[in-house]
Order: sequence, then C-alpha cells, then structure tokens
Amino acid sequence: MSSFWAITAATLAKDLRLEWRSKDAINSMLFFALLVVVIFSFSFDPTAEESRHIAGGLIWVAFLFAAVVALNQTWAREMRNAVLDAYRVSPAPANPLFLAKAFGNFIFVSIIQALMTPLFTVFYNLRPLGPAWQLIPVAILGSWALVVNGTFFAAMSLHTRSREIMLPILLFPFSIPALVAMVQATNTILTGQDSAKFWIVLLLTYDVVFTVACLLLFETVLDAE
Amino acid sequence: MAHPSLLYDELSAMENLRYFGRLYGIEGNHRCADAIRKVHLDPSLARPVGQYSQGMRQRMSLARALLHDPGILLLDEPFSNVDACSASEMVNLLGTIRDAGKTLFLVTHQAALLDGIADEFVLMGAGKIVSRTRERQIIEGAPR
Amino acid sequence: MKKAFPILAILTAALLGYAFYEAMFIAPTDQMQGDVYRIIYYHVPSGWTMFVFFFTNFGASIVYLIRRNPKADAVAVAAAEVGLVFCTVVLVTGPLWARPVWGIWWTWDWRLTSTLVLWLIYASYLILRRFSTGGQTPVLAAALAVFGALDMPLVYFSIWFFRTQHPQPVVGGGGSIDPSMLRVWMISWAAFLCFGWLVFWLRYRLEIFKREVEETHSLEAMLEEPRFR
Repeated sequence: MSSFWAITAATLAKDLRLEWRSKDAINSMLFFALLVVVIFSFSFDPTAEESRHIAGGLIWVAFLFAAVVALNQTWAREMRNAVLDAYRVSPAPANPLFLAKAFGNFIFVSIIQALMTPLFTVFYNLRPLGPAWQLIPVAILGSWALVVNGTFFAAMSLHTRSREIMLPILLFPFSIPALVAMVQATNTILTGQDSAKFWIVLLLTYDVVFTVACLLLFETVLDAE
Repeated sequence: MAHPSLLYDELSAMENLRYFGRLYGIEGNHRCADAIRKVHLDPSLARPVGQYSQGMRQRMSLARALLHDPGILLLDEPFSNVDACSASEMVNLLGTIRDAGKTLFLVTHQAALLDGIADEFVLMGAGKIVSRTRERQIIEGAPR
Repeated sequence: MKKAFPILAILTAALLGYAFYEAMFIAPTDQMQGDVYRIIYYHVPSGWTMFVFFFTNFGASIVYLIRRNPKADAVAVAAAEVGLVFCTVVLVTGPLWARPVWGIWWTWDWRLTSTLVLWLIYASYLILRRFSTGGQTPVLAAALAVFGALDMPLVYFSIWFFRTQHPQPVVGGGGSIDPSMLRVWMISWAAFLCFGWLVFWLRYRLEIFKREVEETHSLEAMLEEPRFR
C-alpha cells in the first residue's frame, strides 16, 4: 500500500518537475485562459443585476474550454519516446499513474481557475448575495469532476485518431450533470435565492461515482492494445 | 530496449533512473549510479537526456533496462542510427553484460557487428527460422 | 437463418402497418389537442424501444469486459446504432408535437432534455468506435458504455431538479390515460420492437461477417511468401 502512494507521489513529482522545466506550456495555457475570459466579457455584457443570474454559466463554460486545452497536454508527454511503455512493462500498478496525472491536472486547472475567477469578478462586478464560502467546495468538487473524467478520457484518446478533438467529444456529454450542478450552485450562491446544498451533494455524488469508475477501469483502458 | 529511447528528454540521467527505479521499488541513488557507470556514462552529468548524442542515448536506454537487474534482456535494433565507433563500444558492453550471467536476445539488421561476440545467430525469413548457427551465415536473397 | 428472415420481415411490415392503422384511425381523438396528438404513438414507443436497445448495449459491454467475447462486442455496436436511431425519432417527434400544441419548437422539458443528453452520449460512443485504431476499439467502447450507464441516473436526477426550479410545459402528457390509447401504444411498441430487432439482427450479422473477412485478409497476408529482391 505504501508503495502505491510512493509511486503516485514520485510520478506527480516527476510531472511537476517536467512542467517546471518547460514553462512555455503553463504560460500559453494561462494566456489562453485570460483570452477566454476577455472574449466572453465582450460577447456577454449584462448589467450587474443580470450578471448574477448568468455568471455561473459563463465562468464554468469558459473554464471548461480552458481546462480541455490543459488536459490534452499531460498525456502527450508520455507518448514522446514511448515512455508510457516503460511504465507499463514495470511491475508498478496502473492506478498510481492515473491518480498522479489526475492530481497534476487538478493542480494545473486550479491555477487556471485562480486566475480566471478574480478577472470575472472584476469584469462583471460580481458580489455574492448568498454564503460566499460555499463557492469553495463548489470550485473544488467541480474541478475534480472535470479533471477525473478528463484524465480518463484523455488516456482513452491516446488510442484514437484525431486525439485532441476526441477528448472534448467524450468529456462534454458525460460532464453535463456535473456542469448543471456547478452552474446552478454558483448561480444560487450569487443570487442568494435557494440553497445550493442539493447541487453540492450532487457534485459530491458525481465525483465519488466517477472516481471509483475511473480507478476500476483505468488499467483495462491503459492495457488495451 | 526498443527504437524510441523510453526516457524523458527533459530530465537528466540520474533523474530518469531515479524515477524508473521507484517503479521497481528501488530506493536510493547508488544502484542508479551503478547502472549508469556500467554503460560508461557519467552519473553526475546534469545535462538533460534529450541533448545526448544518439550513441549516448542508446546506452542510457540500456542502463534503464539494466536497472532492476533482469535475467533476460530483449533488444530491438540497438545499433540503429549509431556511428560505427559507438556501435562497437556497444557491442563490447553487451559482451560484458552477457559475461556477467545475463541472457540477451537481439534483433538487428547489422549482424556483422556481433561476429565473434554472440553465442548464436538465428536467421529468420518470412516469419520462420531459416538457420541457427554458431557462426553468422549469409544466404543469397534472404531478407534478413 | 436465411429462410426465417423474409418471413419475419413480412410479419414486421404487417405489424407496422396494423399499428399505423390503429394509431391513425382507430384510436379516439383527443379532446384538447385534436388529431395532432397521434404522434404520441410514435414518440413514446420509440422512447421505450430506445431504452431496450441501450440496456442491451450496456449488458453486452459488461459481458465483453468480463469475457472478451467478440460476439458480445458485435451485439453492443449493433444495439447502440439501432438505439440511437430510435433516440433520434424521439427527439424529432418531440418538437413536431410541441410546435402545434404549445407554439414552441423546443422546450427544456425534463424528459426531452435527458433524451438529448442520452443521444449525445451514444453519439460520442459511436464516434469513439469510428476513430479508435486497431484492436482496442471493443475494450474502450465497452468502458465508455459503462460510464454512460453510470452517468444516466445522474443526468436524469440533475435535470429533473433543474427543471423543478424552472417549470416548463411537459412534453409527454399527463393525467389519466384512456385504456384504448394504452392498447394502441402497446401495439406500436410491439411493432417497433420487431422492426428494431430485425434491423439489429441484420447489423449484427454484418458485423460478424466484417470481422471474418478482416481475419481472413490478415491470415492471407501473413502466409504469403515474400518476394526476394
């Protein structure tokens, strides 16, 4: 059991080190996220009152597109020099690899979120009328929902043509329940009407169900040859 | 060991082997350093593996394969894209590995390099074994 | 097999014709909606048929993941394709019904929206099958089908709650159902099931043949003597 987490930690550390060495990937990602925020702000120009009702949707959709670009990158590295094969022939189990990739993506995606959220708040003059602290579990659970399935589907896409378009094609339909939950939760917190508790519980359920499913099926998908 | 190097270009030799060692439950640096020295490379070299010459990279791939002390090694075209000098160095290296008690299976188009070193040559054609000899044979018109 | 097919095809055609006759002429006219409501005899049974085939796909995918039986995979792909066709029928007849009755083409009604998501999930399933390379297709597709089955309850639940917060007209009728309507529904459903299974059978056979041909081709390529120089 300890070696399971040791391998997860070692793989995560290796990925972070690789990411740090080739910083251009992070920089272009962050710039892309910024561009998405600006374009959305130009396209949807509501009043302060209206914006509270739609900001949830805007933020999460913009975030979804930025996240997909990031998710595509992480497995691409493993395909160069066939390094993934080196992992597969080793006695290491498959799930530490999945978890390490998922955690790495989560960190990456949270950085993007930390950049985009203040910008949206400024551009739309957002001020939550409901309990603002609830936005934190929504952000964490929502990001994990996208990341866990995104990492899994990105691994699936490795075996396909048109790899980069396959990820959103698979991810978007399956994420719809989570997306509805994230958007509705954010909107209810911002407008202060109703409680977001149902949506947070739904997000939690979604996260648990799909984390388990991914862990059970990842080895099958990785070894599909 | 195969055509692509199975190494991370952005990491140094030690960093690569430290990571792969972890996958095999190998802790600590000295086994990694040993494996690198065995293939006549320098463990303290901080240069990323992607900047190595082809010959050095091939030897580094060999180090990775040797790290967990396997009994059998399978090598696919270990001399491809390597200059003659590095290739003969590689051959001597493989000889010492064989002498240390390991079994090596090599697939190569350049069997002439192994004259006098390999224990057995197996010639294949159309998916079938054509001949098995102690000395290398040349058959007219054979594909390999 | 060859003899049974024409007979079953004729029976199915007859059943479809009978269902049409029942739906269009025998069933009583609705008081409020008039004759327009008759599309319900295509809309609802298509929905039930779609579920039958999607469950078949799910079952076959599970069997494939456990046993790696290629026939299970052929069943899965055939079922998914037929199911998707019926799903499309539901999505097309829904707006066709909604427009004359409520004046709007689309309504984010709970059932229709969930069906749309189901359509998207299975369309992405078929796209994955089309785009994946080599022998991994059955495994990847089976894994995706399992994900789809896990996702559907969450889809229904989330959209249902979403809609109770934003009420919209319900496309699907409500209230008590006249027993004579139920009878026509059942006849329609039986006809669609026969038709669906017939097409499924054809598609399944096609898939099996396709694999046999591919295997033969690769065996021939392996056994061929290569030409030297």
